[in-house]
Amino acid sequence: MTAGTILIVAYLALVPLIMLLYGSLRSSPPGIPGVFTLSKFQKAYSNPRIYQSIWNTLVFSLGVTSFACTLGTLLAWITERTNTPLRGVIFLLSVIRIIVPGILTTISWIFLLSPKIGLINLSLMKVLGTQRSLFDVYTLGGMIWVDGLDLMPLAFLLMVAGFRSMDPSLEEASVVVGASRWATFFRVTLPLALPSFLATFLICFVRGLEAFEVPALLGMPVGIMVFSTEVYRAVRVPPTDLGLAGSYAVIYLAVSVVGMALYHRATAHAEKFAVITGKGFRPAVIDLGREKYVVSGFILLLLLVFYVLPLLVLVWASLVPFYNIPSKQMWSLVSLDNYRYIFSGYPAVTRAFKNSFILGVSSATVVMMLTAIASWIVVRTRLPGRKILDSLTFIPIAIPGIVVGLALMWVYLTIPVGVYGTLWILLIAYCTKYLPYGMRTCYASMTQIHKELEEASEVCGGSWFRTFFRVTLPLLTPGFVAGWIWVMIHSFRELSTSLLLYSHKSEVVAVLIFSMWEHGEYPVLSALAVVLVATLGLIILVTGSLRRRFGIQEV
Amino acid sequence: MRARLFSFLLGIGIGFFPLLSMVEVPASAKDAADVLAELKQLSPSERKRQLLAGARKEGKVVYYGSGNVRDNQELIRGFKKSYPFIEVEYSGGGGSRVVQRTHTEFVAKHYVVDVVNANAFRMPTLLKLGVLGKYESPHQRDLAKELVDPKGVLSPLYTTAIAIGYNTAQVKPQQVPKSYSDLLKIEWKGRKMALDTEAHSWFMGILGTMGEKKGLQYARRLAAQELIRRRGHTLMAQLLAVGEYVIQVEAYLHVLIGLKQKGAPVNYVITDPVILRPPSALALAKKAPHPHAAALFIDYMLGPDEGQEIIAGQDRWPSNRKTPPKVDLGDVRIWAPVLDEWLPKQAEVLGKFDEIFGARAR
Repeated sequence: MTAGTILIVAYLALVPLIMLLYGSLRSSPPGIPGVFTLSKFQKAYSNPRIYQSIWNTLVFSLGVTSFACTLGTLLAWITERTNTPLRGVIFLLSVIRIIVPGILTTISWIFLLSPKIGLINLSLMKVLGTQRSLFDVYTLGGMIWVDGLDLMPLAFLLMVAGFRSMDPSLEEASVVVGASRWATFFRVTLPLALPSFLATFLICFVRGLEAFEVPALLGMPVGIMVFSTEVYRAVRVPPTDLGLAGSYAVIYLAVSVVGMALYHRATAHAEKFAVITGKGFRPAVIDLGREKYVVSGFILLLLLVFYVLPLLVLVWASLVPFYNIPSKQMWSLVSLDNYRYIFSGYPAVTRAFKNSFILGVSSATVVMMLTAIASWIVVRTRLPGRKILDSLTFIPIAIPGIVVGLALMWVYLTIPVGVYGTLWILLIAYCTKYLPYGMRTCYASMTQIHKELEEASEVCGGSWFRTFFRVTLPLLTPGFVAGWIWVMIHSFRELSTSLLLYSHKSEVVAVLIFSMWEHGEYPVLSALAVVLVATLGLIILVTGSLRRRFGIQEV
Repeated sequence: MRARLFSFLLGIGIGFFPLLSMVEVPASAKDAADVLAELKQLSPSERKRQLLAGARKEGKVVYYGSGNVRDNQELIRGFKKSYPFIEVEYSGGGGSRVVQRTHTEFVAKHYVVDVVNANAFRMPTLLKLGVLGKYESPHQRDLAKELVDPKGVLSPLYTTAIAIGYNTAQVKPQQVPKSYSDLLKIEWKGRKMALDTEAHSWFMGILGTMGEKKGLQYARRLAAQELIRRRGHTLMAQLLAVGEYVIQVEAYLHVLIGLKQKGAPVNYVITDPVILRPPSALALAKKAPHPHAAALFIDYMLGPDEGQEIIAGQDRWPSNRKTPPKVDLGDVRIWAPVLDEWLPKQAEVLGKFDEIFGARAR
């Protein structure tokens, strides 16, 4: 089992990396004769523009991460550890955004915050009686805002898992010795949540590095380029310059390696964070007193503006023949024509939904099983090279989605094993892409489980297999399920990799939406988006009831 | 209990994957172009008989088509009505994506596609590498001369007239520009006008109608007007309707007509001379695995009462002279790029366009 896991992880992680490096050092694409050369690097890094892009990327990623992590941690703490009223609604509103593909919310925010047509801007200008718009979504700040909101649910879910797995006795001890609840939060709860917070921060940071939709839609039109859009430019015009894209991507690798080293330093002593022991760990709820109503109202209002308003814009757009601000004339044009069209005139819609569903469920399961075992190997065993396994699972995070797609396309076109053009290549790509996220979630949860429970099982004669599946995995459940849902939902949203790997039979929903976007079928696209959001909402409901049925909620 | 959850998840994860049947079978070694060239010697009726017999055996045609998904579906539905026994496996996407995919698969010797459809101006990459095979449809002699590829590889399907689009709520009647020169007026400076990031066809038209020197001068002055850049003509027309900008420098006429009919506040100006895009062209993949079905597909699309009629209904400009366009351009001169002259200049035109307007243009 362990050997198999190591092999699969190594294969998934190394193949695109080798292809990326090989491509960056060759004068021609794989399959065409060429020589080894450094000319691609020369071409990439002799352009002064690239240094501006590097700077933009760093500012953008740090901004996005700080915004998403702060908001996500705060919301996770409120829903998991306090007695704020309507926590369930806050939870739902916080994660609802995760099911909407980034490309759609970006467009929604254009319609809300564009200086000329933004509904929020226009309303504020009317109220304040000014001629100047207050916000401009086409700025670095606007990009951070939209992508930060996009990332917040991820930070939120990961922090929820962290808070759920935490031993409350230390917080109780703090309260017993007379510390206020805010002092307890800052001096006990937050330090206890450190591994989860670091993992979350790191994941958000690299997600910020590879973000594509927001920089492409908001940055590119006004000339704010980041790394992912530079890679996009390099691969956009055929024949694709894989080498140039690869040499850009090497920078991603370098930054991620630094991030990884920092992460290892911070979490070097796993024992320090063992917050789940055999002593019972049901977290206690903190009473916020009267403030709880204020907190609840304020948070709900924020979330409505952040997440519900963009969804409403989509619903509005799906009901009209062309997008425009609601007016008397537009109301007279409202109809269900766009919905009728996607269900009757678009045979690709049903197939795309089926494909996305198959891929979502499969990749989530494969990734989480692989990473649960891998994190066990890294945290629990003394196998030589376990740190290498940890690093291996992290490698794909350093390769932007568009480059993973390119690399895998070349691999499976060059090695004709029959996966090109099928769902298998997409499954491989998704597993590769989400490996690091699964690993971080499982790893963070694993470091919080003390090994004494597993030792107890072994003492009672339980085999490795039995101990892993009956003791370790069930203890990992909160992180595992959070990771599973996350991978599943993100598979539905995945665009940059799928764009290069799909074929006429394996088209997925995000690609379909992108094709519609490319051809400006915005109202039809909005109708599809509403159906997609409803479907994913349904999946979450089903998963939620499964979670309750299997008793995970009580953990 | 929880162990059961994991077994359940693992079960569905694996169970959902009985998909190996989707693996593609590589094509036979003989070039599609050769197969079809042999049929060209036959009488029209015998040729058709053999094409039908071959296509029945093949059972499908794989079509990579750029352009609006909705319009492509309409063409495919028309084809399926005439040839219900041929399945059309269609994959859409922007022109560069279609070309990139076709190119990559060819280099890797993965021969899946039969017919490619992209703007002729994007095809040189494929032409240079010999990805496409020669195929001349029986309708070839009826096609508009300036659109025809003299090498007989590209079959022009349709072209599109380019117009200046404007938002009727924001541009007063007396302000409406009459020509491209009017766009240089100071009142349009400062992020009021939008230009597609890949407006290469229009740029070629500007160079062609104004002459290279004047055309380049004009483009530089236009770039100084601080244009908004977006990608995708239909999308840009939608944003024009919302008022994100007031003028779309180079809009596709059929898109604006469609929006106007739906009641959107947009209108257009047809310049004199009006610029036609290089044609969207169909091409046979040299290694097409279903050559007979591919030939029937191309023939159908170029047929005056068949595909061309559907295209005219989409307010585009059919390439077959027997099918008159439904759009009335009025009494203006028409400028269409002569493929033989412009295709070799593709890289140069693209380079100049990027140099002047660039992705960083505001």
